Amino acid sequence: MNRGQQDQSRREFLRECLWCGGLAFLGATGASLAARAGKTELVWQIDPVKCPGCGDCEPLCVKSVSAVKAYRAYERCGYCRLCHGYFRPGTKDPTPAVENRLCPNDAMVRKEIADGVFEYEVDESRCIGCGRCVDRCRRSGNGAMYLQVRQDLCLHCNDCALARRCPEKAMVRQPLESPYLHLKGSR
Amino acid sequence: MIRFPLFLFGLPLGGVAAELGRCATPNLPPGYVSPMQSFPAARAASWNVIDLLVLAAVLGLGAWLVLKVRRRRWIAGLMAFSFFYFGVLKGGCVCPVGAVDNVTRAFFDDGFPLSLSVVVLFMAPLLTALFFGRIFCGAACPLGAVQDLVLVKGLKIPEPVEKALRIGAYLSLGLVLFYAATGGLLLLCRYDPFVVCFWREGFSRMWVLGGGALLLSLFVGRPFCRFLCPYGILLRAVGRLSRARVSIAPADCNNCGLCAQACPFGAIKRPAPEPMPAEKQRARRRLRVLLLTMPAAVAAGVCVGLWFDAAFGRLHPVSQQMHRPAAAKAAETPGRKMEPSRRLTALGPSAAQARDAAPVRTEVTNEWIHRGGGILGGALMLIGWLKLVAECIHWRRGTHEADRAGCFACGRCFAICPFEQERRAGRAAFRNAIGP
Repeated sequence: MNRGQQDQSRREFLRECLWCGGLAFLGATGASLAARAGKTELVWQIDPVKCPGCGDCEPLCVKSVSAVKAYRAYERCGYCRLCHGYFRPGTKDPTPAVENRLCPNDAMVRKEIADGVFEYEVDESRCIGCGRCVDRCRRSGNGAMYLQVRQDLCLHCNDCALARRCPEKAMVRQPLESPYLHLKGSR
Repeated sequence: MIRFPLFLFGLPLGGVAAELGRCATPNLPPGYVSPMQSFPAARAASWNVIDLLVLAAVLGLGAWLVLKVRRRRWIAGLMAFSFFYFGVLKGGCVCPVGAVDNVTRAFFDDGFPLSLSVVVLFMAPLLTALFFGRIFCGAACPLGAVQDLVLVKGLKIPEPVEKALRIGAYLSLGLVLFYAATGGLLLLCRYDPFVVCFWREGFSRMWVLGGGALLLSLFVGRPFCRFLCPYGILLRAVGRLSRARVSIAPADCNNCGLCAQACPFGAIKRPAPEPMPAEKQRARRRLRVLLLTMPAAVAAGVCVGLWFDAAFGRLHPVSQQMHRPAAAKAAETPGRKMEPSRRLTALGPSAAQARDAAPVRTEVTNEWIHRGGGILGGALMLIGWLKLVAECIHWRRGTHEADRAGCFACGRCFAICPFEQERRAGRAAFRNAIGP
């Protein structure tokens, strides 16, 4: 065996050692991370209890139309004649005239289901998630409106812009199997 | 009129509130059913398993195409598939590159949620690199695919410049680790230039960043991968040890140098003849100087890093309050100016409590930013110095070889190799001779 071959075999041996070290390191890292990780996949959702209804979800979402939409909790809704989620504040005569409506994109639909009892429905295709109805309903109504991230519209950004900027840290990670946080409770 | 008493008395006055605006239980008509709003599910959980299986398949197929089939066209096809599947269809998030952020944060913050699929996503390309080199970069990475597929003509960047620019990737890795570890910010996801290509929507900042990066990638081969990608640095380190590597010529190499010209990424090492004795001596002297000055250089790096801590803090969301009181104030009253609406219940910490706790957190974070800045500066200087040291050492090489660390396994080099052409022609002739 001449010197060149010796060099060669020594280099091979070193290489082998380094490779095994690399494998051990990667294996250890992977194993410790896997032990730390949760099984379930997580998605973003708004915790309606923490949500301040500030309206930032509309401009801050990376999507041109925010993935956040308004929802109505039917158990809480008072079916008010003067719905604060539907009418602009200060509306005297509750007729569904355009100038009376609160929603900037006319996504709230009002329907009389009985004498003096009105049903309000969110037209999801029109809702932009500005949260005006949520805010007004909470201030002056029953607090039956809440905001949720529509999971089929959400891009599931790793670094959710809403989670980063939410003043109340209301954007939480929910398991993929139960991604919605329904607002419960009665009127 | 309505708001005033609520503002004054707050929550306990439910009775007053009911008089003012609340509605009592209405008499709903018999048989009335509320219209149900839809709660559409996200992609089914099984899709995550499928995504991981697709990633494994792409990595395996990529390794086979690069090491055995050796066809550039097929590799480019696989790239295009990865772009559409992992980029457009899956939406890019979470990608293995971004998973660096998640993994680091999970490492330092026990409360940070980390899912198993992210761990697999992070580890699979690294393990593949340990066996077959950076197959992930060439075959599976959607960010790499965008840059590779739009490349028109790769500008040749001189080797020293290339090496100097690569410090940028180390810096970006350092910053990503630094911000993720101090619990601030997923830096990589925030400034990912190509995510706009996948979503085709985003903020104007993202469009500008994406457009600029795409324009640059037309004439510079994979600028993001080479000079900015933090995950690329990890893959470089692991790929250096890889078992298999791209062999440019199928068997012999006559050092024609065509491959080095074809490689737009400067990842092919030219043969290095044994240096002259005088040259060896000079290298030895340089090595001695470099090793002696290394402590001083690292100390200087630490000082510069410490000096930059204010700049680091400016980007840090927790520390921002300290450095930019005006911005913090603006962040507190975002969007439409209004007082925060009444909270539904008293569950969870209130905004006031959170704000009271903030200064303590800010101080601790600022201390860590200061320390982290020093560590980052020192580490970068050390890496730079070690690179200079490596330049002094002679690595014997007889033929043109793909650099294990820098090669993206894109397949351009063997497509142009005359011996490869010959091999293919020979195979075709062989097939013809056998006949149908």
